[in-house]
Amino acid sequence: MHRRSFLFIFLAFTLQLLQSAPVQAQPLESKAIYQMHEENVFQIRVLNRETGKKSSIGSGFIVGDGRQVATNFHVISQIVSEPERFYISYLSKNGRSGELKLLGLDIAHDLALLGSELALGQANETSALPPKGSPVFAMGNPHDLGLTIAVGTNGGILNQTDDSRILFSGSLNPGMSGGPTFNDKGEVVGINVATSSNAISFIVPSVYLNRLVERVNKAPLNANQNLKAEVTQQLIAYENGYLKGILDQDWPKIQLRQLSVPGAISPTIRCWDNSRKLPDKALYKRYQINCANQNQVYLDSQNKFVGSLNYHYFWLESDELNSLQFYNLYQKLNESKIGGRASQEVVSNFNCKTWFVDVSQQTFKTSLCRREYVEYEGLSDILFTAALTGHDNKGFFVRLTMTGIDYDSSLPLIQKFMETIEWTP
Amino acid sequence: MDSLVLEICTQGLHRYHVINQPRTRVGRAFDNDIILSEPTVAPYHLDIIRHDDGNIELHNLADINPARFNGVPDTSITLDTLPINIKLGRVMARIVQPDQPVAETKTLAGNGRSKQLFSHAAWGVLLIMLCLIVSSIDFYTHTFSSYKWTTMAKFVARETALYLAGLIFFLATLERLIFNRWEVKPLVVVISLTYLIFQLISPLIGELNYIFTSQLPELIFEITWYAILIPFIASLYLIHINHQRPNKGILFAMLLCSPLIILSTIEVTQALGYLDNFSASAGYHRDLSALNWQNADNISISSFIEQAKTLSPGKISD
Repeated sequence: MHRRSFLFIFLAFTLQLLQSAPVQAQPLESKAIYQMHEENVFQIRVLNRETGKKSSIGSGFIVGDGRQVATNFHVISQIVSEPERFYISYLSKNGRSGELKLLGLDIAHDLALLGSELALGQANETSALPPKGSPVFAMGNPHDLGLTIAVGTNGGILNQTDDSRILFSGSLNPGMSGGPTFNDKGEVVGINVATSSNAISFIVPSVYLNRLVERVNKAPLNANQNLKAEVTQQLIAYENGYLKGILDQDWPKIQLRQLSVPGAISPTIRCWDNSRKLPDKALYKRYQINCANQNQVYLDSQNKFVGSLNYHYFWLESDELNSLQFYNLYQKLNESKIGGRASQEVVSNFNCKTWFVDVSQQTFKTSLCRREYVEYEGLSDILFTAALTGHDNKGFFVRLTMTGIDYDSSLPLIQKFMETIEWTP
Repeated sequence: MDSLVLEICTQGLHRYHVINQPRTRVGRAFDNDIILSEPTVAPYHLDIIRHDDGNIELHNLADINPARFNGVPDTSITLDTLPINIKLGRVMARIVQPDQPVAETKTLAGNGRSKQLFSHAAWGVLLIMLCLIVSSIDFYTHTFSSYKWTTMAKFVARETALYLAGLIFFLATLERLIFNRWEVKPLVVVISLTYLIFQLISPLIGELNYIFTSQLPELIFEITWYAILIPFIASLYLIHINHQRPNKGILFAMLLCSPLIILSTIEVTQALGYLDNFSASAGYHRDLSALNWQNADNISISSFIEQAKTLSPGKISD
């Protein structure tokens, strides 16, 4: 009897403890998250006014006051390029559709906020990013095949993208851009934006979406606004901030034979040895290092990405070639090109000028080339090259390229770049 | 009654027939006195009648492509002065007096001093050897790996010997077809000399580009070489070696060189920015020099940045 009473009391006490413990939300599974959000995640379509047919598709979801829809800028960028030809529409899972207006843009983070005249449904709540390794769920309309959900984990915010991207281990596909990424509570932690191979995808942190919603609530874009000017202004503001951040910090250096040169001058930049294998019988040695940033910005379907900052070092030396042979080789290799297949509708021709500049007691034959964007006044592509002269059997050149940047803002960077180069006798 | 001479010119070839009969019939039929094997000539095309008083009567016999006398169509013409130009279909002919003065005798290509250079086989061989040596030097200065002499020999054979042989063969054939002449030895000399001059001047142009930090020396050389010097050399060759009349020699030289003239002119005007052409590549000055002679002064980094501020973007194409 005594033993039974003790058991009863223990069970009652345990039950009481369980009942009095604080209530915690249970992690949701992908099925539950899908069911929870299937009505407020849309397909976003850019339609041709003449034909009524889709020109591009992506995904979007309800935010803010329930009349706002978030998506990626690159999904709806045709509206900026040709507003008179296209319009934006949403399509819900149950077939509901309607026109959306552009309310705001965040070019640097590839976000757009759209608005409907009618209430669209329950706005999604946003939340901070869960810890690294936590499950996250991306929803969207891949390849126009219907709404789906992709499961993956949070790989953390990538500093090489200027904190503008989260690494996602799930598989995003074209058409899912602009869709929401949820944590296991069904809160939006990011916006699907890009994919790479082997289930490596990227998400924009929701903090930038919140800022955009806040900005739009204060000052939305008006119908007659020059969208290209707005895009240019935002891009220049972002790039100038980015360059200022680079200029304000000390630059690490790389020793390349007798020269000390700038290394990875920003967390967004990665440098790689790119020295190619030389033929066995080569009478010279050459070393190459390439450095490039990862935080490029989508501009439009013609230009694709701008905001690249690449620099390439090239060292050449030989004890066996005479100076005539050496300079024939040096000149042959001294060829710098700027990437991209730009057409005359997109950019102007380059204008180049050459100087002989003293850098660390050495003479560099230095060239600077500039071209501008036809439809984005104030944006330029820049090519800077400097080739070491005056040595019989040693050569070095650097090529620095920047795309979609304010020309005047790039010059301090070029100046610091040159001042950082040091010759070691 | 003095005899006359009928000069017939077909495809650059001149044939001469002495006319000493009172009546001479010209045409394509085999029973003519002078037979012209040319499809545009009628079987019986022209009658030439000579009178005792020295007058000549010409009668057109052709219904198709009737004869033209001094450029005028006529059924018959009587004249007492010569020469007279006659057109029979596509054939150009001329009746002249036997004592009609002929052009001065041209010296053989390479007679006298010029023979030492243009007509002597030894010069041709020597110049070809020089071309091969220059080509070997070019290979040596532009090869940056260790190599066997056979590699150099293959390069020289492929890049120079074959190239020169092909060019000589092409131009000699052209000369044979157009002017009915074979002038192989002078052609070898002229082509080898031109090749040598080009090979020797080209590196100097690169140096000038570097000295003046400009592409202008190269552009000037390109337009001068291809649009002026090559046609000039071709004209001299046609006039002095092929013995063409100056205006004909110049005309043929210009026609022959017209692809070079057109291409170099387009390239140079494009490089100077006179054509509204778009290029996605940056045409900056990339010449480097072992001599390192420069005309421009060195400047500091800050001066460079100051000057860079004034750099405007390139032209937007229409």
